[in-house]
Formats: sequence, C-alpha cells, structure tokens
Amino acid sequence: MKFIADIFDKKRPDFEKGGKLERFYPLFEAQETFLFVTRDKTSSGSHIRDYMDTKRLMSFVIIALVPCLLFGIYNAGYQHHQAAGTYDSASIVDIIVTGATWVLPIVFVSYAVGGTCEMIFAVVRKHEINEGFLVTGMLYPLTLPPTLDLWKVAVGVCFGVVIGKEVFGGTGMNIFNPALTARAFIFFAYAGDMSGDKPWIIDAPNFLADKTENLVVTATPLGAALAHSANPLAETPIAEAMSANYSAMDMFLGLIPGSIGESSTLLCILGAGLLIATGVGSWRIMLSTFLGCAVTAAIMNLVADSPSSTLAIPVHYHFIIGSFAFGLVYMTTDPVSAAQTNLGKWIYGFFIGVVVVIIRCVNPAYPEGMMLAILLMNAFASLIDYYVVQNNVGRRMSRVATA
Amino acid sequence: MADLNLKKGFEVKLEGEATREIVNAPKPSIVAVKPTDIKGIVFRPTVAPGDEVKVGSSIGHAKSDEEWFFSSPVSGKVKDIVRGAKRKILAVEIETDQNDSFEYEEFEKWQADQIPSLNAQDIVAHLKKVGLLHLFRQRPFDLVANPEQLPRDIFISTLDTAPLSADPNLIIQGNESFFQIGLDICNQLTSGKVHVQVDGKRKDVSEVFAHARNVQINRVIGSHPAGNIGVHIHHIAPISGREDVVWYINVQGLVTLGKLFVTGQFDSEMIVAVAGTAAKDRRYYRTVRGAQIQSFVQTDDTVTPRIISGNVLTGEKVEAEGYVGFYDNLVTVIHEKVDPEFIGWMLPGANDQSYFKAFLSSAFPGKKFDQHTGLNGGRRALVVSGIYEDVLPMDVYPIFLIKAVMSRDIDEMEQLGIYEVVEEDLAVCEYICPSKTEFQTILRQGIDYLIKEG
Repeated sequence: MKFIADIFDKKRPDFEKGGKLERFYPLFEAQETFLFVTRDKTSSGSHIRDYMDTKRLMSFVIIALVPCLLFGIYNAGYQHHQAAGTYDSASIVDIIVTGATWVLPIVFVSYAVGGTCEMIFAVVRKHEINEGFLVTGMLYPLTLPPTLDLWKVAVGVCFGVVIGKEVFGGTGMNIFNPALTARAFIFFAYAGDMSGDKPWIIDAPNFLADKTENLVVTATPLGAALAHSANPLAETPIAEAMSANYSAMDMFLGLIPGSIGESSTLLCILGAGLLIATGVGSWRIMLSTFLGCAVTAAIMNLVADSPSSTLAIPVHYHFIIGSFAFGLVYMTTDPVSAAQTNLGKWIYGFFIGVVVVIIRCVNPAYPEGMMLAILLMNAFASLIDYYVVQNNVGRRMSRVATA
Repeated sequence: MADLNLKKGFEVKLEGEATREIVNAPKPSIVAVKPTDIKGIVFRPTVAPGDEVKVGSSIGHAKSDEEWFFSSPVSGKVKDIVRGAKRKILAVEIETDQNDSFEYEEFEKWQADQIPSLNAQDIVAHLKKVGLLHLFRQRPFDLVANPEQLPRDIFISTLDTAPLSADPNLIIQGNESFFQIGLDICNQLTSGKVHVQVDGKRKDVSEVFAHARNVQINRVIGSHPAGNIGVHIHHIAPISGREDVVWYINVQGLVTLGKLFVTGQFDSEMIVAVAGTAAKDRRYYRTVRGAQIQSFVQTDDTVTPRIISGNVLTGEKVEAEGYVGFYDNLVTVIHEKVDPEFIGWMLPGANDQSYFKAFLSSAFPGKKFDQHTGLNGGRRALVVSGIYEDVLPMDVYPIFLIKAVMSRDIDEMEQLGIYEVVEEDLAVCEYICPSKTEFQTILRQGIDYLIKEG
C-alpha cells in the first residue's frame, strides 16, 4: 500500500495551504483518513492516543444497523407478496428482489444526496467531513416507508443535513438528530406518504385500484389500535384488535408493515447489544428510555377507563410495535443531540419513554410517538444538562463556603 | 486519614517497563537547567559562558525577586545559554568537570531535631538563597511555589499511576530518613496539614511512606489519574479559588530537601527510570538533575524513537541531546509512527489499545501494548459524551470546562472547576478522545488566560 501512500504524499502540497486545490482539502483529508486512518502524529499533549476514531465509532453503528437493513429489504418484499396474494408462489429470491428494488434506491439516494450536501458544506465552511453522516445517511432511509418517492427522500435528507445540522454549525453543534429532522420534515410535508395503511406496502395503491378479491391490505398494529379506540362501539380489549392480523411474536420478529428498518424488535435488541458491548451507544439512555416507557405504560393501564381505549395497550406491546425499539437503540443514543452528562442521560431517556407513551395513548392525531418524543427531548437535552451542570457548580460553591 | 477508592479512570497499558534495579549512570558531560520547567517566573541568568560553578552555585534569579535564586546541579563550566523565540531562555547548559566527585557550595545546616524549631519564613528564605524553592510547586495553576504566600496545606503523592511510571517505593530505597526530614520541613512551612498519599492496594509500600510521621496519611486506590496530586487535593481538601494555595512536592524533591537541610549541600542526585519499547537497557539510573538524555538513555537503532522526558501522556518531547526535566523521574522512549496503516479503522485491531471495547484487543484483558505516536484518527468535532467523566475521578465535567475555556468565559471556568485541574488531570480524557481533541493544550490556554485576565 506504500504506493498509494506515496501518491497522497505527492499530491498533499496541492491541497495544503497555498496549494492550487487548497479549497478541496476536506475532500483530500476524507480520502486519506479513509485509507490510512491518518498520517498525523501526535505533536502536543499526550504522545499516544486511543485507536478509536470517529470513523470506527460510526462504523460500529452502521454494523449494528445492517441487520435491520437486510431484514427491512426482506420484510418489504414479504409484505408486498403477502398483500398481493402471491406469497405462496414467490420464492425467497423473489421476495428479496422485490424488497431490494424498492429499498436500495432509497438508501442510495439518501447517501448520495446527503453526502453531497455534507461535502459542499465542508468545502465552503472549511471543516473536515465528519463521519457522522455515514450514520445519518443510513438511519434516515430505515425510518421511511419503502414506497416513498425518491425525490422526496432527497428533499428530506437535504433538509436534515442543512437545517438539522449545518445551520447550527455542523457536526457536534446540532440540537436535533439530523436523521429524525429529515424524517419529521417528510412526515409533515407529505403526510399522506408517511401514515395510514398504504405506504408500508409496495405497490399497494395498484392493488386497491384493482379491487380484486384476494387483496389484503392490513393496518399496522398502531393503526389498528387507533381505529379500534376511535370506534365507540368497540368493546373488545385493544390488544385483541392490535393482534388481529399479527401475533405479538410477529411484531417482535418484525414481520409487520412498517418503516423499512424499524419493524424488527429482535434485531434492534441485537444492535443494542453490539452498541452497549463496544461502549459506542449509551446504555444509560437505552435503559432509561425503556424504563420510562414501561412505567408510563403501566400507569396508563391502571387509569384506562375501558379495555378498548388506547390507554389499555399492554405494556409489552409498546416495546414491540412501531418504531420504539429502533428509535431507542439508534436514535436516542445519538451522542450529539442527547444530553451530554451521564445524569442528564438518565433523565433524557426516561422522558423520551414517558412522552412516547403519552403521544401513543393520549393524543389521537398521531399513532406513532417515538420520532416526536425524541425530537421533543432533543430540544430539552441542553436544558437538562444545564441543570445537571449547575448542580455540580452548586456543589462546588457550597463546598467552598463550608471549607 | 482519608481513604480514596476511586472508581473512575483508565489504565493505559504499555509494554516496556523498566527492570526494577538501580544502576549508576555515567556522569553526564553536560547538564542543563531549563527555566521552561519552572512555570510562573521569568528567569534572569547571572552567569555567562565560561564561568565556573559549583553544585549549588546560583546561575540566575527570578526577574520579579532578585533574592530568589536558581542553582546549578553540577560543578563545572557554563557552556551556553540557549535562547529561543523573543530571546526567551530555554536552558543554561553546564559542562561538568571531569573529576570523580563534584565540588559543592556549603550552606547552613541543622540537626534533624532542630527542624521543628525553624519557622516558615526562614525556610522559604533559605530555599530562595540556595536556589531550590522550585522543588515546591503550587496549585491552582501548577506554577512554581510563590514565596510570598505560604501554603494552606502541602501534598505529597507516593503513588504514580501513569503508564510505565517509576516506582517511588523503589526510588526511595536508601533515602528514607531524608524523606522523613523533608516531611518535617513541610510541616514547618504550613499551618495546615501535610498530606501523604500512599498506594492503598499494594502490600509492599515502603515503610517510610506507610508510616510517615507527623502527617496525615491517605490511602488511594484507583487507575490513572488516581495518583495525580490534583485528584488527591480535590477529594481531601479542595481548592476554593485563586487565593487558596496548596503546595506539592514529589518524592525525590523531598529527599533533596531533607538532605539540603541536614548536610548543608544540594545533592542533585536523581533516580530516573528509562522505559518504553524503543529504549534499550530499561532500568532505573542514578544520575543528576538535568542530565543530558544520551548520557544514560540508549534507544533502539532499528526504529525512529520519540524520547519523552516524563510519561507518555504528559511528558515533554526531547532529543537525545536534550535534558531530563527538573521534575521528571522517568524517560519514556516509544517509536514514532512511520508506516501508514491501510484502512486501519476497519481492521479487527488485536494490537490496538482502546477505552472502547470495539477492538479485538479487548478480548485480552491485561494485555500490554506497544503503542506508537500516531494520532490514530482525524481531528473532528467533539461528538461523544459521557466517556470523559468516566476517566476523570473528580466531580468535574471536563467537556463543559473545556467548552468554557474555548469560549474564554472566566466565570464559567471558575464555576466548573478550573482551579482544581491542570493538564495532567485531563491527559486521559485526551488519550481516549475519538475526536482527537487537545484537552491539555486547551486547558493550559485557559489557565494562562485566567492568570492574565482574572
């Protein structure tokens, strides 16, 4: 690999200060660190450094996400063939091909368009290309329905990168998780493409137009819950309505309609295991979000006036429906938009869990609350940190006073 | 007695420890006094090249106080006064005379039992005259002890948790009595307490540490930076502000101090460990303060060495022609990074040390590493949080402090504890940072700013 290193060494002067391509130094730096980690040596302070860098850090999140992506591809195909009634005749290859032809372009567009935005900003603002985008570019498509138009995917990711991150000063400065900002933008701008029963099934509009007999477009469990509770005549427990089409095991494994990557709770747990074991994701946030959700859901159950009300959604259903698990593992733990102090992380996570249940159970407008809960707590993260740090300052000052 | 059982911290494990034996190094042909080691004063030399000096002869004084001298550690002839940018004096180089033993200046001396009758002002005045007051340093800010302000307390750490550190329990052997006399002198210098921190985990702690007399002994257990004086002060008797001054002195400094008072001579002997994978003959060497590195350190010729006076986390890079720092009892030699590591960030990393358990190496706890000087990643925006508090055994939020420093907000720096930390305390934060943030450099800028503006 010496010869590649030599090429970089030869070209380096062009990109450094005063060189003719100085403006494009971030691109040069990105490629060089991609190939060689870095050529730089320590010059001041500690003479040795940890081998962890942001590239490796982010790649562990990607590794944790890959199972979700692969399963998302399969599930997209599976849902399509189920709904179209062709499941029995479809081979696993057919299913994967169907899924892949819809899902992979979304991922590709997300990376290409978002990456371009990132690069333009790096060059204009003269900062390095931060690897955080590798994660954003993967997270965002996994939160989308497989049927979303590609141009909308592109618009969303631009919004996420530019408004969600760069206007705040770039990586490390943003208040909101860029991937969720992008998704929220699409969610409100193109609501019809992001909610209801249809977007989750590839080609569903075509089946519906056909009106053929064997079409079954089934509601997501959360959609079913909302419909059920809205029906004043309904008396059966809400859990029954939710599991009318899918068993709790289906929901856990992920063979239910939903956004591309978020349906399988099992794979999210695997991803959580990797992130916690490597120290890349905060176990404090994950655990506290889980606890916040469990406690609030249990309280809701207690105060539910009717078994058919959304308040009565069983506690364990909250963990396996919608994007709770996915958001918990991959979104709440974004270190930049979460609380920065360890005590703050506990508070931050707990309230995400609380808010998600409140949105799901009490608010009739949105069946799903994870995205909004995280964005809301993103906004409060700095405030939480502020009080945690002030508490620390108070301790220091009172110690001085008594000393 | 206070027992500190510190849970936070991170042990950087390196190969290349020094063998536990002390050997006599050859007499260095050149030694240097580096005013850059002595933070907080401007040094004015009073010697010129060619002047003869003895051990203990004054070679200069502080600009602020003409009575405050700095002395030569050897007898011989002044070779050069090395100046850097803006004519700042970097070193006074002295050629040692080639006799078997040095010639000494004779100073006043006392019997050990007379020490308790000395008063603080007289001790400080004596140290200024002898040119060794700078054996003491002070917090906040890690400056040389200010003779105008006596310390509230004095702290001595007898455990060194830094990577490849020299073991004070070995170094002290043979000089135990002088150590105790040094402590007695400290007791006269402060109306407060003298705190001696000892390793709470080891069984073979030197008797003179474990049973030091007339002091408060505190047992400390924990990973680096648990041995740092700043951590001890924070937990035992925290610094409340700029006027709340605590002095500290290291083990060999105390020995030198004790010897000075009972023998009337400045014994500049210093035991320095040589460690690190790129050093040959890794042992403890008996040499003198400010000895030229190449007089006792031999590096591995097959690699490009980086020689560090001090430990790998906080030490100063020096050349073979350079000199051991005044306060350093360790020279570490590691190898410079030369080969690019192709797609290194994707490899399993069986030989890559990390705080994160994202490398194959974490499957082998206790493994020691041969680390080079690579930065191991590009400099990036700070993204990760929570990890820095985990390696700083203090009730301080390093990230918030560093951000306050970056924004030059003095009120915030004070509130967040800038009086309690110096560079070495944040060295582990700097080591583990995946964004390769220069915590130590930034913190020092903040401290300098505070000294100037506050």
